[in-house]
Amino acid sequence: MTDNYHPSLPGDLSGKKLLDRVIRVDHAGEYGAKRIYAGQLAVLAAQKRRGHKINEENYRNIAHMAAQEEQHLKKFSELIGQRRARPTVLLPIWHVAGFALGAATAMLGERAAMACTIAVEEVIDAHYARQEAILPPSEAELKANIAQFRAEELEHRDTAIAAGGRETPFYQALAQAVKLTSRAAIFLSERV
Amino acid sequence: MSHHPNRENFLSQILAEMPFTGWSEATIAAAAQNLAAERVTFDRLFPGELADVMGYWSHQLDQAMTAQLQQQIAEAASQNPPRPLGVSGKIRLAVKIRLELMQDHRQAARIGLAKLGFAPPKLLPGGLAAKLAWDSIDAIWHSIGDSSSDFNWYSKRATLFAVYVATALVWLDDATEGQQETWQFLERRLGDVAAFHHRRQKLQTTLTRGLAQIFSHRVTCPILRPGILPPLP
Repeated sequence: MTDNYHPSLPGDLSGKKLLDRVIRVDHAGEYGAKRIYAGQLAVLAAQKRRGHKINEENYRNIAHMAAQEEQHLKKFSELIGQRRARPTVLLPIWHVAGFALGAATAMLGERAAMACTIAVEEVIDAHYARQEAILPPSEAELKANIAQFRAEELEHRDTAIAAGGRETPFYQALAQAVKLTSRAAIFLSERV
Repeated sequence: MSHHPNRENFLSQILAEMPFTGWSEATIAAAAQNLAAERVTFDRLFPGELADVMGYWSHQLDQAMTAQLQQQIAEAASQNPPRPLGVSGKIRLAVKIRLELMQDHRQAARIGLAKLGFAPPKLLPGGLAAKLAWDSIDAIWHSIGDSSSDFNWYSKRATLFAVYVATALVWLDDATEGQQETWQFLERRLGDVAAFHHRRQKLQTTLTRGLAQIFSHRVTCPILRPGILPPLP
């Protein structure tokens, strides 16, 4: 695992602080992801109840993604206890904002929901890749977890692309807005 | 005395000297003299001077507290019949152990708190006392196996921080036999926490029930007479 390891430079965070940040932001991210999918599922379920036709396969796919995010979240929740990291104080905000983002994009349509998934998972992919590079080799177990989660997030992206997420109207604008929001959320969750 | 004293040696000497010479160079000098060590040895071990000594002391006590706490929790659970402690029982025990560990050096603790709790940050790491207290209560929650990763992480720590700091302030000035006053104070504060928790739960139940009634149209409020507002979806 040393091939993509970047030795630390002056000004980088020390081991304990880095670990604290990594666990906090990843926990917040998985929490937000879980809430986004919960918002999408809630809207789709409501539409179905009211007799609208929804794509059952999309629903099952989103439910599967939500279940995987739940697993990731469970892992990082355990790590908060084990490694004595501090969860972000913004969790109540992500609770509401994640759900709202998921619900809003799902209301725009199933393809817009998939566009949101593509945008979020692309940001998370880059974020996890960066973490894999800066974590020291001594954190091999955590790095393996992150690598596995990253692969699963990429699966979500591919599923969303296959479901036609990129063909939604105004895809670029929507995706850029979601990406900007996600990056801001990462920046804040690392710190507070 | 060894010619290469370690942090532990310096800590005990400084705690012994501090009641007489206070937060001063004289305390450091006396400690170094007692250990037949040079002042530079102290600077190497504690670059932040007395503030570092206080930080080291507090973290050492946190470790000792954790060890004793876990031993006593295990003892309580292995009694016949087993009497496992509840969360508030463990908290009560932890705060008591932590304060009793400082019993012999109350004066030093008082001086340290006065300096580190309120000093302007430019002179000393201001608020360090608060940070050390936070570390202590974090150690307590961790050692009694708290695994919350949601907002409870904050509410639990904020609650215990308030109880611990208030109890510690009472303890610093408690002249009663066996610190009875402090432990009674602690008991009342834990009671307050339990009462608050109970009230909050009651409020939550009332609110949830009220909302459920509104959404199930069973509320008979004059303003909500049919015809005034459009029907709920």
